[in-house]
Amino acid sequence: MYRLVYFLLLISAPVFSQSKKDFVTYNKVTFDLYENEAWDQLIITGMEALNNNYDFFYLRSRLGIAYYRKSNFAKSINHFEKALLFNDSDPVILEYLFFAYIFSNRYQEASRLYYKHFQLFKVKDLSVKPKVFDKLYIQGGIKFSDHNTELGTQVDNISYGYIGASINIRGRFNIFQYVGILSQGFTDKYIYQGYLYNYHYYFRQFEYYVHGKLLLGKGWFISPAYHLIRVDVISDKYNDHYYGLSINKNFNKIRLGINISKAYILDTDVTQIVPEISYYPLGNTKLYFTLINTNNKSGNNDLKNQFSGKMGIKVFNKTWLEGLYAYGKVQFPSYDNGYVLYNNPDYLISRGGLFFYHYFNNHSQITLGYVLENKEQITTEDQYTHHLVIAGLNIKF
Amino acid sequence: MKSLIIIILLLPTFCFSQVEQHIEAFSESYALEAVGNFAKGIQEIENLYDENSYEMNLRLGWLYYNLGNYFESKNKYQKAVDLMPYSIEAKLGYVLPVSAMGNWNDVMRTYENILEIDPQNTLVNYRMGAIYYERKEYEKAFSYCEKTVNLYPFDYDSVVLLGWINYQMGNLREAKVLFQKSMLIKPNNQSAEYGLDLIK
Repeated sequence: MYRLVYFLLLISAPVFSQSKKDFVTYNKVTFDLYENEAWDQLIITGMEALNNNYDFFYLRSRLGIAYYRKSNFAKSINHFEKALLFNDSDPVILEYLFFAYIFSNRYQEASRLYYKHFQLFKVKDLSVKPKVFDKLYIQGGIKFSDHNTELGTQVDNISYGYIGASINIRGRFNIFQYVGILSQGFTDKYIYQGYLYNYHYYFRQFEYYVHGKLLLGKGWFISPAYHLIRVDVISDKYNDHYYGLSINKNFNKIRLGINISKAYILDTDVTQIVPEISYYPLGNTKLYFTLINTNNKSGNNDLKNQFSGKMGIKVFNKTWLEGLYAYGKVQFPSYDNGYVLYNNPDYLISRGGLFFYHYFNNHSQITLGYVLENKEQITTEDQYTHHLVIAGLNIKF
Repeated sequence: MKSLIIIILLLPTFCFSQVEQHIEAFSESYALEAVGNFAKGIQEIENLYDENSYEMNLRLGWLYYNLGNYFESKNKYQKAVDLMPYSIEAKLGYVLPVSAMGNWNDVMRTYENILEIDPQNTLVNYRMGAIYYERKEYEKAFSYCEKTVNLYPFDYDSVVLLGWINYQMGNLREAKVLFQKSMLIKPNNQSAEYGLDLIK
């Protein structure tokens, strides 16, 4: 008898818990939960309604706001975008989506939304507004070398500086350009008539980089890039070129990308194919991971792989720390669609670094960083290390 | 053969009694709606529900809408629209639950569909004008609202809305004239008074 009662209790529990709710219930309950700011419960009930095929503007709006208030911007974007399929001109949801893009570092999509609904946005007092002259970036750095050779060419310190700016064309297209100068020291050590001579000289470089980012829609981007390095040595002048194309797609918590590039450095053809994946486990930029696989083919060398990992974490209200590590012996590698281009023929064996980003306000941010690079000299196979220290200032207009 | 004759003889009786039942169910539903008992009113029709009946779908769409079940209301109105694609009343019914769910893109598509059938429909032209005004798309709002004012120059809502559209477009002289005209239709109306104050 007890068994029967127990069995009846067991089967009745799921029957009660799965009692079918109709549209009226879902609509009312989600509205009440929204009014009471019960975000967790609203997400559970709202998702249940969606699973029962009740999909409408107010439900998506409530779910989007619930995720937004929990700082899960990736999921809030998904629901806000779906809400706008039901009503593409709702000013409240447009503003929420705009800031969800901003807080996800998806500025170009925010900007596109702003210009697309300019009549609605222009009357709003937004703390961030897209501008044509979008961003100014200044960066300088010194690479300290520990290379010490008794004879031959010794690689010395490198110093560089550049200034860049980006222009935003109605959110659809963004062009970033920088010009920079770099100076790389070398010391030739040789013995002549029994005496050791040190001959110190510099490679001076002028650099120009341009990178376009075209928003195709639905989270798709296509980004062509070009990097010119004009090298000026005592007896020679020559140019290095980089041509790259990246395709990226934003999903909820994942960003996928592939970069294909061709570079001509020191008369060497360099081909790279670089797939990468970024993951935002919290649906925001408080924590993120990126994995990159650099497939590098330089001249007649075999195809080489370099695996990189990056992790960023928000440590204070306006401060992020980002660590990176890359391992794999490559020659003339490029990173971030040619933004960083190594044109020294020495092999890069590994690089690891730590960056510190601090936002003073919505318009200014500083970057401080340290990167350690292990390299191998191409002629002597000597291994040496570069310690790069960088400082940058980013001004957003 | 005998049974066939019986069926043929009984068929009109059956049909007649079915029509009688429908009339009674509709009649009951009106009475129940009048006292706010929409659920019971729905039940009256649902008991005899025929998905190929335009009238039943239209009636159920309205009752479900009043009950707050916008999803079911939308489904019923959609069926009515499918059965009578040129029915403007079914489409006007359809926009009720759809707008209550906030699905304004669907509302506008339906209004555009109505205007394809009946371009001079003043109610729909006025509503499209009002929607575009809210969206701050004043050029589009103007094209719809101008039609309603041309057709009904003494309609207060249309005249005052066209006044505001002109004001937002910077056509202050036209806005002033329209606000003044609206005062002739509805003296002391606050909207026009406020508009005229802004123009001064």
